[in-house]
Amino acid sequence: MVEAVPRVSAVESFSLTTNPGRTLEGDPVGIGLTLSVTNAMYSVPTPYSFVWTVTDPSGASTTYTQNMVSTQPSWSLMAYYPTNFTGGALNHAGIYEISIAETLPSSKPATSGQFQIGLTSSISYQRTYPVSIIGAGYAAFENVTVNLTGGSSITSGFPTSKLADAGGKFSLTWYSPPNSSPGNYTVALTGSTTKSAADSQWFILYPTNVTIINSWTSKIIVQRTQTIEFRFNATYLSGIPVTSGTCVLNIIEPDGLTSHSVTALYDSVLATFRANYTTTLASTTGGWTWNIAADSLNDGSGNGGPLTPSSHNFNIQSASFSVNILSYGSVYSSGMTVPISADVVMPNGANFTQGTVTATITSSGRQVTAPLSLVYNASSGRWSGGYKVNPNDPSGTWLITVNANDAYGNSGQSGAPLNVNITGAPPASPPAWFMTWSFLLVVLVAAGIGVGILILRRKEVTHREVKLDVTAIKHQADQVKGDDFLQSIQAQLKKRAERMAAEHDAAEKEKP
Amino acid sequence: MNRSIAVHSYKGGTGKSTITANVAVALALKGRRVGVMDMDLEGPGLHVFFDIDPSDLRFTLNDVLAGVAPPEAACVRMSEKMNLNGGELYYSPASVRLSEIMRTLKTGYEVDMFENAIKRLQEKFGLHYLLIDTHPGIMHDTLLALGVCDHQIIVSRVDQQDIFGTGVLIEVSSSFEKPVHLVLNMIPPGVKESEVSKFARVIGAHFTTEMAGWLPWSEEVIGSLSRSVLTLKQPKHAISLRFRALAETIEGFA
Repeated sequence: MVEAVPRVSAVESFSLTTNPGRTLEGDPVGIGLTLSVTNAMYSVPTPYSFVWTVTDPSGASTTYTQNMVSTQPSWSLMAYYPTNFTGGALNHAGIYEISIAETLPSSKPATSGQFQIGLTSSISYQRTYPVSIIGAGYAAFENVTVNLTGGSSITSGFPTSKLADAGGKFSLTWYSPPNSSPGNYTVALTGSTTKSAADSQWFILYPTNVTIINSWTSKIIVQRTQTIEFRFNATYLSGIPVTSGTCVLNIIEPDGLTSHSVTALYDSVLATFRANYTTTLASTTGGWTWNIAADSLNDGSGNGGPLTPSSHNFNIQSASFSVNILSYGSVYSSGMTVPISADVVMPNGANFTQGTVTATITSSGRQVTAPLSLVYNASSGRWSGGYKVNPNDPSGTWLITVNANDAYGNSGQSGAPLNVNITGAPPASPPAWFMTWSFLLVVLVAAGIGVGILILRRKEVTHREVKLDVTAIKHQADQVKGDDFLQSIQAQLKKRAERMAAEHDAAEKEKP
Repeated sequence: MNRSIAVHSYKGGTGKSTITANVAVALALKGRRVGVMDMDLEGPGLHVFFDIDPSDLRFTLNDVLAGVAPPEAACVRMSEKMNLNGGELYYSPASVRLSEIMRTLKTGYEVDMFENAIKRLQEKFGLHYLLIDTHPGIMHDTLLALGVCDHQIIVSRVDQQDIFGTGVLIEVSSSFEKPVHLVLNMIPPGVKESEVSKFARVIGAHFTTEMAGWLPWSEEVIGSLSRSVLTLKQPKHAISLRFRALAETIEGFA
């Protein structure tokens, strides 16, 4: 005899989950509802029955009945709203209440829950992100008016109207401007179809962040006194370009500690943020960086960024002055002064005014005079001086070499020929002692010394070497190659090559 | 054989324009059809060599790059003026007006405009060689222009500062995958050819470039004050022969 196992009378536990918890009006997928039951009767198969009731924001209810036989202590049931609920629809914005009642094996409330239906894809947005507004339950091609208010003010461009589609669904996308007021906004839809609950909903608009793109440095290597320009573009997180505001850039010297700052402004003509930094004759030479710190950009409307800092390299080298010698060949007699003047221009195009400028005169490789100091004349903007002609100075072409330098190691040099005819020069015929034995001896000794000097100089020249620091060069080149500056160039060249290849292919195809 | 060749340098004062003008004339004297563009828009200087005052011209390269004039309208035929006997030389000057220089520097130019100018001049005048004198340095517009040309000649003095920057420039230019050729200029008197060759070999071993030639320091070049093209004025002078040799090397560019 087999004894029947009695049904165990249990106190079940119920829980309800909704997925998603919020969606848009007219969502074709709907909401998945899951009822989880634990501690159910199961020792003998036990019939269970549940009535699911969903009440929309207008107060209208629809139901769905679901039966099953319990053979386990825990199990789940699923239902989809509105698919499983006769007459159910997602046509109202607001809270939909769910209640589930057990009707077998006993009659009692099981559990309840809710989900939310909205008119917008989210309840919070950052400025410039598209706000998608969707409504459902209207007549086919019904004219629907949408109103959008931020606080108490009316948003520009609203109210506006648009026709619903053939299925009575309405959709509109609003792109909030970067300078739109942050805070709560209410969107409301109205049409000729009367909805028993107002089709309206609020959402929050926040300021947005910006991202830096396309950083560009006008010169990777600059000479002192030159101005270096930094450019970059910025976009809001939505990808829309930032077209206003300021950004403070930090410019760091090679020691990594000393910093300067410049403010980049948006240039609407070039459609980019720009800032200049002017180096001086005393600027430290070596590798510098310019940085865009986190949150250093403000678009003037409360949007800022970037979230992460970025850094770019450039190199400052000593200035190489441009020297232009102004001298005039002429006939000079002993005691007259040969005027020498020179324009010495710094790499930025301005006159070099403080430092040392000297002129050396040679003729056929022989020095005519020791270096002469030139003096800067502020009124003419030139360095000037003169050489007083000696009676023994040779006529012919003189080479005037002007050297300019300063205390910081900046320098420049140039040479210019000068045709000079010295009158009152020594007589062409040699004096009587010229051909004496003692003079010949002096000449031979001098010649010997001269040859010795030449040999030594030659050796010096031969062993003079320019150091080629390959590692430093490659390191510097790698910095340049890694910079946005060069990558932007390479990207443009790549696009060009691709375009040319495409044009070539097209031309080939057109050939008969 | 229609090659665009950029003549570039890291620093100013390396003799880039002198080399451009003299090599262009040397090629033209060999019967070639040669174009010269002064793309040193910040500091144009080729007009001095060719004895042209760009202010007298209706259009310059600045107008071409701004899209307001076709390239051939800003081009001067030099062959008769220079009596080049068989060869042709066309010269495209840059503006020397400060306002136009500033305008070009401010707005920059589209690489497409530059490339179109090259193509147009090559086609219109049947150029064998188009030499492009650039603005020295590592700058955006200039590097972009280098990337468009078929060959790059980088001119350097054997000077510590210049060589360093030239090395960087060669490395950067090599990334454009166009042949890079090196010309050492103003070699100090007393330095032997074997020493220069040795130095060139060292550079060639470390960088993607080949030596196109070297030129000694020349009092005649300095003395000419950039006012004449020595290859034309003193064709048998040693430095003119060097320019001709460089022109020969350019003709051998693959």
